[in-house]
Amino acid sequence: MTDRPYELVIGIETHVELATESKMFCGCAAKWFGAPPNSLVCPVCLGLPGALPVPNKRAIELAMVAGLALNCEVPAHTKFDRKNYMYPDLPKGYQISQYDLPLNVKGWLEITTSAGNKRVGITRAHLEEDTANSKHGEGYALIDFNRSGVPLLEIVSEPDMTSVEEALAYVRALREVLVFSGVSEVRFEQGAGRFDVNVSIRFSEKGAIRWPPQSEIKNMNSYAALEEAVPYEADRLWQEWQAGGELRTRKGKITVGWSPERKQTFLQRSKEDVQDYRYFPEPDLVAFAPTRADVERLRASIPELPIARRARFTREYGLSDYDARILVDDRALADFFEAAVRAAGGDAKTVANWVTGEFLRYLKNDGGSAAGAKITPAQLGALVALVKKGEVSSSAAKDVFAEMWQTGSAPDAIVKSKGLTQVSDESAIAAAVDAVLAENPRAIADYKAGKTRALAALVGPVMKRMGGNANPGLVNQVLADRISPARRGGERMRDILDIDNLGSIAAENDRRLLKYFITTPTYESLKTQQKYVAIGRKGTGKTALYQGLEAAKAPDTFIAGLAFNEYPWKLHDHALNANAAESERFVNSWRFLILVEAAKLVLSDESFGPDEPTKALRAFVEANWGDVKFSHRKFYEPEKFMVTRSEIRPQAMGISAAAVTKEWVERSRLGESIGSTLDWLESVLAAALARDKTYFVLFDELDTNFDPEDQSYGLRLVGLLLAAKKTASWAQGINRHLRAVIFLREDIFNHLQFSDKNKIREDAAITVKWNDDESGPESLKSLIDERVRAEMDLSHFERDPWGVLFDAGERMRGTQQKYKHMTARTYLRPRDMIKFANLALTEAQSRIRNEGGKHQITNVDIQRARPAYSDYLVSEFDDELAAYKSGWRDLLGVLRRLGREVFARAEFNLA
Amino acid sequence: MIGYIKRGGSGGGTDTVYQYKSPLAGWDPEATQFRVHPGLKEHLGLIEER
Ligand SMILES: [Zn+2]
Repeated sequence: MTDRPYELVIGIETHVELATESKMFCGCAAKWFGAPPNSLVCPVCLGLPGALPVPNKRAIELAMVAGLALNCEVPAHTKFDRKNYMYPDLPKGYQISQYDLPLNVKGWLEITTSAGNKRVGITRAHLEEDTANSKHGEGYALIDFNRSGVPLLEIVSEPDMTSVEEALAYVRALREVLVFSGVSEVRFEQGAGRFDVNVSIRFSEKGAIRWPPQSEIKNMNSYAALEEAVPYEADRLWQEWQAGGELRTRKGKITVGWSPERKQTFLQRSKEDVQDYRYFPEPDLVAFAPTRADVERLRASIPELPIARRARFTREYGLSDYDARILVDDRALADFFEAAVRAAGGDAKTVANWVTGEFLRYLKNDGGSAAGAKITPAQLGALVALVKKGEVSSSAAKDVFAEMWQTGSAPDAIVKSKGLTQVSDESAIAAAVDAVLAENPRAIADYKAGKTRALAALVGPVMKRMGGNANPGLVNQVLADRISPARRGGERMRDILDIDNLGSIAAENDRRLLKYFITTPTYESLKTQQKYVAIGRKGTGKTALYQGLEAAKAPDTFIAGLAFNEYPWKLHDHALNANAAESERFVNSWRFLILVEAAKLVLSDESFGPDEPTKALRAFVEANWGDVKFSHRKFYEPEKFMVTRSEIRPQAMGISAAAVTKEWVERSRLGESIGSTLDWLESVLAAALARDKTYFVLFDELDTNFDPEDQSYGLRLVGLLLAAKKTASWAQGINRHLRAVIFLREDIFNHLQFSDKNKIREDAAITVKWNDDESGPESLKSLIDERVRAEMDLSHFERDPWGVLFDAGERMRGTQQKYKHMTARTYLRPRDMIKFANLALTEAQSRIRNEGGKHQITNVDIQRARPAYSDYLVSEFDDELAAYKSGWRDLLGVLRRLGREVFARAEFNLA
Repeated sequence: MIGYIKRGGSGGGTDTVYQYKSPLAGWDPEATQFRVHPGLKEHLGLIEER
């Protein structure tokens, strides 16, 4: 990549002023930029004798927020120290800073370069006070104390960067994190932020690795300076080494400045040693220990950071990296986009095209911010929906947008007033098509002779006849329909005799499931981790949902799909905590399993090299289960477990390695001794789970062998639900995307009794349900549509797959259409609908073979399928009800004797 | 499986309330007319009512 004869090694120390109202140790205003010189001062920040510092709580909190956003550990104790040196900008003769116990240690920041993503280590981030500003003139110097005592955060990186590109990416990413988390405005240009860059070169010479001492380039405050100074100084070091200069013998680093005018560095100090500052603890301030509660509260206050938001935009909305970057770079624009997607009811890519296209173009022309635009997200969403519904063409939509931008009017009002409504009335289009076809008999002959382009030539005349307002998709479809009714949408398709069925009613047996999987709101709420308990009646498609979610595996989405049929419950029971309250008895055994499954997911992520947390997790999993890919069915198989015990209570984040001891316990004693191991696992996972990745542990098939009388069955499930709840609130607290997702039958959930049940139902659970509407993602119609589309090879543009398979000519008795006729006979479960359709399909196929007639499912076929379907439905009841209600078969007998669909209470009592 | 018939439903006619469709509607102990779920008719050999 580079033709330099050496390797670059770069570390950066960044100073930023914190966004507090007042200074670090006094009440003076901290926003000094632009204030008259020496107008924001008091005895404390002037360093007058006898003045005592009072620490600014907000500054300490912001410094901790910065550390948390940079994935740092918060040590148990921290203190302030005096850094002694004499300089006119430092009136006390010392600066209050932090020496050996800084607020934040051992973090990392993810950067993105053309080579991909990389973590740059953060050594520490500590709090100190800023110095005064000095101005040097001819023969005099001026000092302004307004800046003196402003809270300053110094963030020290590891020397992990190996190119100027990486150094720039680091400073930019750091600025982004600090600004977004509200820690600092990072106004480099105002001198309210600056960075010192440590540059060294490493190379091999005569077979030996040479790494001479570095240069520290001080006080840079622009990306341009960084970009020029680093290569300059590195080259200078190389030249000096080649020329046999003092670098060959020098031991310590030197400090240089950068002259942007002369584009070169100049020597400031040749030697600087830590001892020179004679650090000692600040006697006027006490050491303090942040509490875990404080840390978690601050952590929760950090908003979603850009890098995470970008990742989420590509993952959740399917946007390109490029679009995600454009949107996220401007927080208001990203917020606008998300609100518009919600208003449009999905269609994120289309919304993104509007926002990054028209919206941004107008914004750039007219100036201003996304938040201040006349057009609201709801209006843009409404416009996208209008285009989708075919009520306005996409080209007319641009005119509508222009009007919305100027006036802020609602899109539907503009469409109406300007007469832009697109005609989607099939009969009007059909009339125009017929007229055009009558004028062009030649085109029909050409088309039938195989010249498919003849069709395209007719679209123009039809559009013209419709005044340009026809829905072009529909015009194409009607044209194709009229010329050759057997072909829909101009696509080839399979005949009804060529398809086997519309899929199996048991999702676990259906390999085609993902082909016609439809993304329902239920699926979305699980995938976006808003909900984590999916409950539904038997046959409503929980397993399909489970499989759909499991298939969402991606480079940034890690999924462990655990099925609990054939799970050794007896072994699991060994790990219960007999001392706990009944409903809590299984909680820790499940938390243990969830956290270890999460650890296995982390260890399966190959995009990062092994770091301390992942090494610790691997060692733990290997010690207990032998390898990191073991099956969850073997989780409680070991008879002894290696657990960890911390000697001190975990303070804040992370327990230092020295405080953790390991020991082996019998499986039967696991329940009572697992608590500290869970704490340890949480603290290590907090560092190991990537902030911009998503992790799922899925629990399915928990209902096999369900027995309402078996109390321990119920307690295990209660424990699992509570463990999932704990996992969710823990992950939310540390801003990580981990959920244990539970798929559970509704009757079983209802049967469980525990105190948090309503809370879980309200906050965490979503019910899988379907309706008999004729459109919409939760309608049985759209479910059958996708299956027909897949099985009959229909085009994606086919708007009515149902109408391809089912004969629409005659109606069912009365006014009921086939669809309503069928759904009324189901329990609104996909299983029933698929079964009914499959039986009707079989009837249609045998009718066509034996009697001929329409190659579609007709009323006759449906009538003939009804007895078999009815038997099926009764057997379904048998499965579901037999467990609870023993008398239900007697009831069937009574109904049979009554012999009528509708009956009165008195008749029933008699029978 | 069995719904009760409610008078004065939409359009002034009757509605059948099934538990699977309206889990919150509850059971009306005063109801006098009932309807078997249409999916069970064939299995039980019931006569259809119009
Ligand atoms: Zn002051």
